[in-house]
Amino acid sequence: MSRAIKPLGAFLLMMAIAAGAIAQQCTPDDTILVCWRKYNSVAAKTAQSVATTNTGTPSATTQAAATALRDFQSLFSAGIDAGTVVENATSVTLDWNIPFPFVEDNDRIKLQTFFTDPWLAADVSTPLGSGAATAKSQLTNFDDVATLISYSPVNQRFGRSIAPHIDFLRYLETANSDPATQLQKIAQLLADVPQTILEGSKFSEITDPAQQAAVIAQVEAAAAAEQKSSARATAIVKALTQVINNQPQIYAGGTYHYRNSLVGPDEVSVKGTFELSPKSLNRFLQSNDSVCDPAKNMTSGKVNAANAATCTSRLVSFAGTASPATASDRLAFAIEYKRAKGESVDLTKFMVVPPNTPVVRPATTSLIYSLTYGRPLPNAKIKDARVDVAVNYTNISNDPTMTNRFVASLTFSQKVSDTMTLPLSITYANHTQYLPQTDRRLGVHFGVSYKIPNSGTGQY
Amino acid sequence: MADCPEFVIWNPLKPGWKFFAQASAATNTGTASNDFDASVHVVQPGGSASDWTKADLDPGPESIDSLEAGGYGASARLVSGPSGPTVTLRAWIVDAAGAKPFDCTWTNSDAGTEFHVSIVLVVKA
Repeated sequence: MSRAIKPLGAFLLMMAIAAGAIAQQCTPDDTILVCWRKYNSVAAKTAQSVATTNTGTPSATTQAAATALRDFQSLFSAGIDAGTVVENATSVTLDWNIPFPFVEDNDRIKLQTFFTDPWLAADVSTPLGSGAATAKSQLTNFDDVATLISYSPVNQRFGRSIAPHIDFLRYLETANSDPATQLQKIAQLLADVPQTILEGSKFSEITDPAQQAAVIAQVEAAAAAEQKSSARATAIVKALTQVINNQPQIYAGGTYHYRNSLVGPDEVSVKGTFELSPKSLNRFLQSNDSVCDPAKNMTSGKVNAANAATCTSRLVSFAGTASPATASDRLAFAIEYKRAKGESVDLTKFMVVPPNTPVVRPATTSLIYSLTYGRPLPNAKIKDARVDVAVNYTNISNDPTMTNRFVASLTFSQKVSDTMTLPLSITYANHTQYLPQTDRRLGVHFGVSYKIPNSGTGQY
Repeated sequence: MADCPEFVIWNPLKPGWKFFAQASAATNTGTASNDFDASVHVVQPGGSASDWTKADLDPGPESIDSLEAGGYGASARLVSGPSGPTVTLRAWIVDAAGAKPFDCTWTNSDAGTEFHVSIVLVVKA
């Protein structure tokens, strides 16, 4: 029985291989373009957009729900965060990334504005008593607005752009065969054909059988060369994009947070952030410098093709087989210096009498340390989802009545389309802002964010 | 203007005509982007080859100022970087009268991908 099955299996395998080969053979009734596409399907060349990589929520870098992969690629994004936690109940984030080619060609400036649904600060709501509802009704959506501007350099060491790595890409592709020589041979054959043959012409329009056969054979050879070249180029660009997506990002910025005094004091802050990933191009080049540095593998203007091929195979192996070429695990460190304005809040117009008014707030300075870890979830059933865990610790330096604050968040964000992401966050804070008390707060935030990539068809 | 097929044959061309190519990239708002690569590799009738790099093509154009009788093969690549700008390659022929009997554009806006274009130029004396 098994003896009969083995030859049958071998026969079926051979038939399958033969069928594939026949499908790629061109006939005189094919047009030249149809013949070409038998080898080079246009659809097969499409790949995943990295500009639309799930970068989590665009929410404020000062908020607990954060991402370890800050997006400097989209032109514009917006987010709505509806929270059940007492602080920052509902907020809207608008986010622009603007080219800033004044230091290096590909640098970016990020502008963010956060509109938060204003809530009465706890230090005024208690003395307001029954007047709290009146005070709250006077607040508008412009009474708690923060504006952030940050700068992110893009060069060979930092940032997610291919532009600083063009020489490296070109080096990798020197190991790739170029089909131009085969194309030239087609042209040479057609130059001797009396008929005017275009890509839409059938081979059968070449009346001389010998010339027709030669052209078919040469188009097949060129198409096969292109197929090989294209497959290799796709692998190279995909791997390179993957590791560029994992390049570290460094950015620094300043925030001005305006608040109605009933909501809290105005604040000014400066913040520096460093993001890194273990599978970055920097990391790859450090350990493969001898075969991957174009400058070290060039002799008399000629590239060492063997080393370029070795570098390519190592890069493809290093990048892994993840599809799409999305960002890998990522860690972000940040430190922020914040200064809150000292003020005296007069509540007499809400019928509050001394000593409950004015409410005096001393100027405070604080240092906020943040650590965020994020990773994509490699589950086919929840495609293009990521999770980010963030921990913020605020050390308030010059107000002994204020307790240092600890905020942690776990954010799951699910990309539902190239432009839309749904984040869900669970946050924990050991107490609300601007209060010495230690009433712990646990909350859940739901949101939606929309981004316009720098290309494509995203509409807002 | 719709993109030409990824494989084109320009036939017949006459000796002395000119072949041009240039490349650029732009974001969806139309601002120029540098997050791309483009190149054209041209093999001439005698077998000698020219490489036109991004620096040659952008802003370009790069050209062969006088085509010779015979066949030319040109292989172009358009790489859209991680931010996914739309990379555009334009190639065209200028005849003796200054007209453009062949004029094509190709675009690639898929971030992190390389798109290939193959051009066969048939120059008949």
